[in-house]
Amino acid sequence: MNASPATTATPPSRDANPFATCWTRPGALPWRGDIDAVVERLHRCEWRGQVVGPHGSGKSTLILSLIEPLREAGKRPVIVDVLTDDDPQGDTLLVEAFERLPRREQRRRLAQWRESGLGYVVTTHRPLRSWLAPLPVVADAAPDESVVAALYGQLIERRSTPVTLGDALASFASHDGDLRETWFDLYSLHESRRRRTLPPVVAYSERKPAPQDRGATLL
Amino acid sequence: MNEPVVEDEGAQLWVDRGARRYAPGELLTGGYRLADWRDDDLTAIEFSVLWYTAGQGEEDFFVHHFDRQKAAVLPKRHDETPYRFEVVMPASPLSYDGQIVKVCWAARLRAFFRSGKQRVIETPFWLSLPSDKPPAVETSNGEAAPLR
Repeated sequence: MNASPATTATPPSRDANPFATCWTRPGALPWRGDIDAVVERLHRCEWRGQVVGPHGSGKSTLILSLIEPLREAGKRPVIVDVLTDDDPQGDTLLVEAFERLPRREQRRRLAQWRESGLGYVVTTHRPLRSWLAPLPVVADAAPDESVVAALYGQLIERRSTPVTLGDALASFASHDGDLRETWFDLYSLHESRRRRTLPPVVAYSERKPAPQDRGATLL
Repeated sequence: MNEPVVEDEGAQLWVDRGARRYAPGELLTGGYRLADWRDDDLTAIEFSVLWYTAGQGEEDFFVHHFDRQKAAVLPKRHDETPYRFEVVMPASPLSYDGQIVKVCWAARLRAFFRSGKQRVIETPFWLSLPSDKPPAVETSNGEAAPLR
Protein backbone atom coordinates (compact mmCIF):
# COMPACT_ATOMS: atom_id res chain seq x y z
CA MET A 1 0.00 0.00 0.00
CA ASN A 2 1.39 3.39 -0.91
CA ALA A 3 1.14 6.46 1.22
CA SER A 4 -0.12 9.72 -0.15
CA PRO A 5 2.29 12.18 -1.77
CA ALA A 6 4.88 13.92 0.34
CA THR A 7 3.61 16.69 2.58
CA THR A 8 5.31 19.03 4.97
CA ALA A 9 2.31 19.66 7.23
CA THR A 10 3.26 19.04 10.83
CA PRO A 11 1.50 15.98 12.23
CA PRO A 12 -0.82 16.71 15.15
CA SER A 13 0.92 16.45 18.50
CA ARG A 14 0.68 17.85 22.00
CA ASP A 15 3.21 20.47 20.92
CA ALA A 16 0.74 21.90 18.41
CA ASN A 17 -0.90 24.07 21.06
CA PRO A 18 0.99 25.40 24.11
CA PHE A 19 -2.29 25.84 25.99
CA ALA A 20 -3.49 22.23 25.63
CA THR A 21 -4.66 20.56 28.82
CA CYS A 22 -1.52 18.46 29.08
CA TRP A 23 0.51 21.65 29.60
CA THR A 24 -1.91 23.62 31.75
CA ARG A 25 -3.69 21.12 34.00
CA PRO A 26 -3.00 21.17 37.75
CA GLY A 27 0.43 19.76 38.38
CA ALA A 28 1.73 20.49 34.87
CA LEU A 29 2.41 24.10 35.77
CA PRO A 30 4.27 24.98 38.95
CA TRP A 31 2.81 26.90 41.84
CA ARG A 32 4.20 30.41 41.45
CA GLY A 33 3.99 31.43 45.08
CA ASP A 34 6.34 30.78 47.98
CA ILE A 35 5.77 27.08 48.64
CA ASP A 36 8.26 27.04 51.52
CA ALA A 37 6.26 29.73 53.30
CA VAL A 38 3.10 27.65 52.93
CA VAL A 39 4.85 24.59 54.36
CA GLU A 40 6.20 26.70 57.23
CA ARG A 41 2.69 27.96 58.03
CA LEU A 42 1.38 24.41 57.90
CA HIS A 43 4.11 23.30 60.27
CA ARG A 44 3.14 25.99 62.75
CA CYS A 45 -0.51 24.89 62.52
CA GLU A 46 0.29 21.23 63.28
CA TRP A 47 -0.05 20.36 59.59
CA ARG A 48 -3.69 21.38 59.46
CA GLY A 49 -5.03 24.18 57.31
CA GLN A 50 -7.08 25.29 54.36
CA VAL A 51 -6.23 26.71 50.94
CA VAL A 52 -8.84 29.24 49.87
CA GLY A 53 -9.48 30.56 46.40
CA PRO A 54 -12.06 30.84 43.63
CA HIS A 55 -12.41 28.49 40.66
CA GLY A 56 -9.27 28.14 38.56
CA SER A 57 -7.06 30.06 40.96
CA GLY A 58 -4.49 27.30 41.35
CA LYS A 59 -5.63 25.50 44.51
CA SER A 60 -5.13 22.06 42.99
CA THR A 61 -1.74 23.08 41.66
CA LEU A 62 -0.72 24.23 45.13
CA ILE A 63 -1.95 21.00 46.70
CA LEU A 64 0.09 18.95 44.23
CA SER A 65 3.11 21.20 44.78
CA LEU A 66 2.96 20.44 48.50
CA ILE A 67 3.62 16.72 48.08
CA GLU A 68 7.38 16.87 47.67
CA PRO A 69 8.10 19.48 50.39
CA LEU A 70 5.92 17.55 52.83
CA ARG A 71 7.84 14.36 52.08
CA GLU A 72 11.07 16.24 52.69
CA ALA A 73 9.61 17.34 56.02
CA GLY A 74 9.16 13.67 56.95
CA LYS A 75 5.42 13.51 56.34
CA ARG A 76 3.51 10.97 54.26
CA PRO A 77 1.14 13.11 52.20
CA VAL A 78 -1.69 11.55 50.23
CA ILE A 79 -4.18 13.10 47.82
CA VAL A 80 -7.72 12.35 48.98
CA ASP A 81 -10.99 12.37 47.08
CA VAL A 82 -13.55 12.94 49.82
CA LEU A 83 -16.30 11.25 47.84
CA THR A 84 -14.52 7.94 47.33
CA ASP A 85 -11.60 7.61 49.79
CA ASP A 86 -12.90 6.27 53.08
CA ASP A 87 -9.58 5.01 54.41
CA PRO A 88 -6.71 7.14 53.11
CA GLN A 89 -3.20 5.77 53.70
CA GLY A 90 -0.96 8.59 54.87
CA ASP A 91 -0.44 10.96 57.76
CA THR A 92 -1.19 14.22 55.94
CA LEU A 93 -4.31 14.36 53.81
CA LEU A 94 -4.40 16.72 50.84
CA VAL A 95 -8.11 17.09 50.23
CA GLU A 96 -9.49 18.65 47.07
CA ALA A 97 -13.00 20.06 46.62
CA PHE A 98 -13.87 19.65 50.28
CA GLU A 99 -16.94 21.81 49.67
CA ARG A 100 -18.61 18.99 47.79
CA LEU A 101 -19.46 17.50 51.18
CA PRO A 102 -22.43 18.80 53.15
CA ARG A 103 -21.44 21.03 56.10
CA ARG A 104 -22.34 18.41 58.64
CA GLU A 105 -20.20 15.80 56.90
CA GLN A 106 -17.34 18.29 56.65
CA ARG A 107 -17.41 18.79 60.41
CA ARG A 108 -17.60 15.05 61.02
CA ARG A 109 -14.61 14.33 58.76
CA LEU A 110 -12.47 17.08 60.27
CA ALA A 111 -13.22 15.83 63.78
CA GLN A 112 -12.47 12.25 62.74
CA TRP A 113 -9.14 13.20 61.16
CA ARG A 114 -8.20 15.31 64.18
CA GLU A 115 -8.96 12.49 66.58
CA SER A 116 -6.88 10.13 64.43
CA GLY A 117 -3.93 12.51 64.73
CA LEU A 118 -3.82 13.16 61.01
CA GLY A 119 -2.71 16.36 59.34
CA TYR A 120 -4.90 17.72 56.56
CA VAL A 121 -5.05 20.50 54.01
CA VAL A 122 -8.41 21.15 52.39
CA THR A 123 -9.19 23.36 49.39
CA THR A 124 -12.25 25.58 49.58
CA HIS A 125 -13.77 28.47 47.68
CA ARG A 126 -14.67 30.33 50.86
CA PRO A 127 -12.97 30.01 54.26
CA LEU A 128 -14.39 27.33 56.51
CA ARG A 129 -15.31 28.90 59.83
CA SER A 130 -15.64 27.03 63.08
CA TRP A 131 -15.78 28.32 66.64
CA LEU A 132 -14.79 25.00 68.11
CA ALA A 133 -11.86 24.15 65.88
CA PRO A 134 -10.82 27.02 63.62
CA LEU A 135 -8.89 25.90 60.56
CA PRO A 136 -6.10 28.33 59.64
CA VAL A 137 -5.86 29.63 56.08
CA VAL A 138 -2.34 28.62 55.00
CA ALA A 139 -2.61 30.03 51.48
CA ASP A 140 -4.92 32.36 49.66
CA ALA A 141 -4.80 31.36 46.01
CA ALA A 142 -5.26 34.57 44.08
CA PRO A 143 -3.11 34.75 40.94
CA ASP A 144 -2.34 38.18 39.54
CA GLU A 145 -1.05 39.45 36.21
CA SER A 146 2.56 38.75 37.08
CA VAL A 147 1.68 35.08 37.62
CA VAL A 148 -0.13 34.96 34.27
CA ALA A 149 2.85 36.56 32.55
CA ALA A 150 5.28 34.10 34.13
CA LEU A 151 3.17 31.07 33.26
CA TYR A 152 2.50 32.35 29.74
CA GLY A 153 6.26 32.78 29.28
CA GLN A 154 6.87 29.25 30.46
CA LEU A 155 4.20 27.79 28.17
CA ILE A 156 5.47 29.46 25.01
CA GLU A 157 9.14 28.90 25.79
CA ARG A 158 9.39 25.87 23.52
CA ARG A 159 6.20 26.16 21.46
CA SER A 160 5.38 29.05 19.18
CA THR A 161 1.98 30.67 19.21
CA PRO A 162 0.23 33.59 17.55
CA VAL A 163 -1.31 34.38 20.95
CA THR A 164 0.35 37.33 22.65
CA LEU A 165 0.90 38.18 26.29
CA GLY A 166 -1.61 40.99 25.78
CA ASP A 167 -4.20 38.39 24.75
CA ALA A 168 -3.40 36.38 27.86
CA LEU A 169 -3.77 39.35 30.20
CA ALA A 170 -6.99 40.48 28.52
CA SER A 171 -8.46 36.99 28.82
CA PHE A 172 -7.37 36.75 32.46
CA ALA A 173 -9.09 40.06 33.21
CA SER A 174 -12.26 39.05 31.40
CA HIS A 175 -12.47 35.81 33.38
CA ASP A 176 -12.09 37.52 36.77
CA GLY A 177 -8.78 35.87 37.54
CA ASP A 178 -9.83 32.33 36.58
CA LEU A 179 -6.64 30.81 35.21
CA ARG A 180 -8.30 27.62 34.01
CA GLU A 181 -10.77 29.55 31.85
CA THR A 182 -7.92 31.74 30.65
CA TRP A 183 -5.99 28.73 29.31
CA PHE A 184 -9.16 27.39 27.64
CA ASP A 185 -9.60 30.78 26.02
CA LEU A 186 -6.02 30.97 24.80
CA TYR A 187 -6.18 27.40 23.48
CA SER A 188 -9.13 28.33 21.27
CA LEU A 189 -7.52 31.60 20.22
CA HIS A 190 -4.35 29.76 19.23
CA GLU A 191 -6.33 27.25 17.17
CA SER A 192 -8.42 29.85 15.36
CA ARG A 193 -5.40 32.02 14.53
CA ARG A 194 -3.24 29.10 13.51
CA ARG A 195 -5.89 27.91 11.10
CA ARG A 196 -6.55 31.44 9.93
CA THR A 197 -10.22 30.77 9.73
CA LEU A 198 -13.08 32.49 11.38
CA PRO A 199 -14.75 30.57 14.16
CA PRO A 200 -17.82 28.76 12.86
CA VAL A 201 -20.97 30.80 13.13
CA VAL A 202 -24.42 29.33 12.87
CA ALA A 203 -27.01 31.93 12.00
CA TYR A 204 -30.65 31.25 11.44
CA SER A 205 -33.96 32.90 12.05
CA GLU A 206 -37.22 31.39 13.05
CA ARG A 207 -40.46 32.50 11.49
CA LYS A 208 -43.20 32.80 14.03
CA PRO A 209 -46.12 30.66 12.99
CA ALA A 210 -49.07 32.62 11.70
CA PRO A 211 -52.11 32.62 13.99
CA GLN A 212 -54.05 30.29 11.67
CA ASP A 213 -51.14 27.79 11.80
CA ARG A 214 -51.14 27.55 15.57
CA GLY A 215 -52.78 24.45 16.86
CA ALA A 216 -53.07 23.00 13.38
CA THR A 217 -51.02 20.03 14.45
CA LEU A 218 -53.38 19.38 17.31
CA LEU A 219 -56.24 18.56 15.00
CA MET B 1 19.25 11.54 6.12
CA ASN B 2 16.65 14.26 5.57
CA GLU B 3 13.98 12.96 7.96
CA PRO B 4 12.78 15.19 10.81
CA VAL B 5 14.93 14.06 13.73
CA VAL B 6 14.30 14.77 17.40
CA GLU B 7 17.40 14.96 19.55
CA ASP B 8 18.29 14.96 23.21
CA GLU B 9 21.91 14.95 24.37
CA GLY B 10 22.88 13.47 21.05
CA ALA B 11 20.27 10.71 21.21
CA GLN B 12 18.19 10.73 18.05
CA LEU B 13 14.83 9.34 16.98
CA TRP B 14 13.27 9.54 13.56
CA VAL B 15 10.56 8.03 11.41
CA ASP B 16 11.54 7.30 7.82
CA ARG B 17 9.71 9.61 5.47
CA GLY B 18 8.49 11.28 8.62
CA ALA B 19 7.18 14.27 6.72
CA ARG B 20 4.94 12.02 4.65
CA ARG B 21 1.80 10.20 5.61
CA TYR B 22 1.57 6.58 6.62
CA ALA B 23 -1.49 4.59 5.64
CA PRO B 24 -3.28 1.89 7.67
CA GLY B 25 -1.54 -1.45 7.18
CA GLU B 26 1.65 0.20 6.02
CA LEU B 27 5.00 -0.60 7.62
CA LEU B 28 6.21 2.26 9.80
CA THR B 29 10.00 2.28 9.76
CA GLY B 30 12.60 4.43 11.42
CA GLY B 31 15.52 4.35 13.77
CA TYR B 32 17.20 5.77 16.83
CA ARG B 33 20.65 6.31 18.27
CA LEU B 34 21.40 6.45 21.99
CA ALA B 35 24.66 8.44 21.77
CA ASP B 36 25.42 10.35 24.99
CA TRP B 37 22.56 8.78 26.90
CA ARG B 38 24.91 5.87 27.48
CA ASP B 39 27.29 8.08 29.44
CA ASP B 40 24.62 8.62 32.10
CA ASP B 41 24.54 5.05 33.38
CA LEU B 42 21.68 3.87 31.23
CA THR B 43 19.77 0.89 32.65
CA ALA B 44 17.05 0.32 30.06
CA ILE B 45 15.28 1.84 27.10
CA GLU B 46 11.67 1.56 26.01
CA PHE B 47 10.56 2.15 22.45
CA SER B 48 6.87 2.52 21.71
CA VAL B 49 4.52 3.55 18.93
CA LEU B 50 1.34 5.01 20.34
CA TRP B 51 -1.54 7.34 19.75
CA TYR B 52 -2.88 9.85 22.25
CA THR B 53 -5.41 12.62 22.29
CA ALA B 54 -4.45 16.20 23.00
CA GLY B 55 -6.50 19.34 23.29
CA GLN B 56 -9.03 20.52 25.80
CA GLY B 57 -10.23 18.14 28.45
CA GLU B 58 -9.40 14.58 29.37
CA GLU B 59 -6.66 12.76 27.52
CA ASP B 60 -6.62 9.22 26.26
CA PHE B 61 -3.84 7.08 24.84
CA PHE B 62 -3.11 3.59 23.58
CA VAL B 63 0.23 1.90 23.06
CA HIS B 64 0.21 0.10 19.73
CA HIS B 65 3.76 -1.28 19.89
CA PHE B 66 6.10 -1.63 22.86
CA ASP B 67 9.64 -2.90 23.17
CA ARG B 68 11.88 -2.76 26.25
CA GLN B 69 15.60 -3.49 26.25
CA LYS B 70 17.86 -3.66 29.27
CA ALA B 71 21.25 -2.01 29.15
CA ALA B 72 22.98 -5.39 29.23
CA VAL B 73 21.78 -6.24 25.74
CA LEU B 74 22.55 -2.85 24.22
CA PRO B 75 25.61 -2.69 21.96
CA LYS B 76 28.75 -0.98 23.18
CA ARG B 77 29.08 2.79 23.18
CA HIS B 78 31.33 2.92 20.14
CA ASP B 79 28.77 1.14 18.01
CA GLU B 80 26.75 3.98 16.62
CA THR B 81 24.85 1.99 14.04
CA PRO B 82 21.27 3.15 14.49
CA TYR B 83 18.69 0.75 15.87
CA ARG B 84 15.98 0.11 13.30
CA PHE B 85 12.31 -0.48 14.02
CA GLU B 86 9.45 -1.75 11.88
CA VAL B 87 5.85 -1.62 13.02
CA VAL B 88 2.74 -2.45 11.00
CA MET B 89 0.27 0.38 11.43
CA PRO B 90 -3.33 -0.42 12.43
CA ALA B 91 -6.47 0.68 10.63
CA SER B 92 -7.45 3.27 13.20
CA PRO B 93 -7.59 5.76 14.78
CA LEU B 94 -6.42 8.04 12.01
CA SER B 95 -4.52 11.20 12.84
CA TYR B 96 -6.90 14.09 13.37
CA ASP B 97 -6.00 17.72 13.78
CA GLY B 98 -9.22 19.09 15.25
CA GLN B 99 -9.76 22.35 17.06
CA ILE B 100 -11.02 20.80 20.28
CA VAL B 101 -9.29 17.45 20.16
CA LYS B 102 -6.37 16.04 18.21
CA VAL B 103 -5.54 12.39 17.66
CA CYS B 104 -1.77 12.20 17.57
CA TRP B 105 0.45 9.31 16.52
CA ALA B 106 4.03 9.24 17.72
CA ALA B 107 7.10 7.08 18.07
CA ARG B 108 8.54 7.48 21.55
CA LEU B 109 11.87 6.53 23.10
CA ARG B 110 12.21 6.54 26.88
CA ALA B 111 15.52 5.99 28.66
CA PHE B 112 15.90 4.94 32.30
CA PHE B 113 19.04 5.82 34.23
CA ARG B 114 20.51 4.43 37.41
CA SER B 115 19.88 7.70 39.23
CA GLY B 116 16.14 7.19 38.73
CA LYS B 117 16.05 9.90 36.09
CA GLN B 118 14.17 9.33 32.83
CA ARG B 119 14.52 11.04 29.48
CA VAL B 120 11.97 10.92 26.67
CA ILE B 121 12.08 11.90 23.04
CA GLU B 122 9.10 11.62 20.78
CA THR B 123 8.50 12.19 17.10
CA PRO B 124 4.99 12.57 15.67
CA PHE B 125 3.84 11.24 12.30
CA TRP B 126 0.65 11.10 10.27
CA LEU B 127 -1.56 8.05 9.95
CA SER B 128 -4.18 8.77 7.31
CA LEU B 129 -5.98 7.26 4.37
CA PRO B 130 -4.14 7.64 1.06
CA SER B 131 -7.23 9.38 -0.30
CA ASP B 132 -7.21 12.02 2.45
CA LYS B 133 -6.55 15.51 1.22
CA PRO B 134 -3.48 17.01 2.89
CA PRO B 135 -4.32 19.84 5.26
CA ALA B 136 -3.66 23.45 4.44
CA VAL B 137 -0.42 24.96 5.68
CA GLU B 138 0.55 28.56 6.04
CA THR B 139 2.47 30.05 3.17
CA SER B 140 5.24 32.57 3.60
CA ASN B 141 2.81 35.44 3.12
CA GLY B 142 0.68 34.13 5.97
CA GLU B 143 -2.18 32.74 3.88
CA ALA B 144 -3.43 29.19 4.09
CA ALA B 145 -2.73 27.18 0.98
CA PRO B 146 -3.51 23.56 0.21
CA LEU B 147 -0.51 21.28 -0.04
CA ARG B 148 0.26 19.75 -3.38
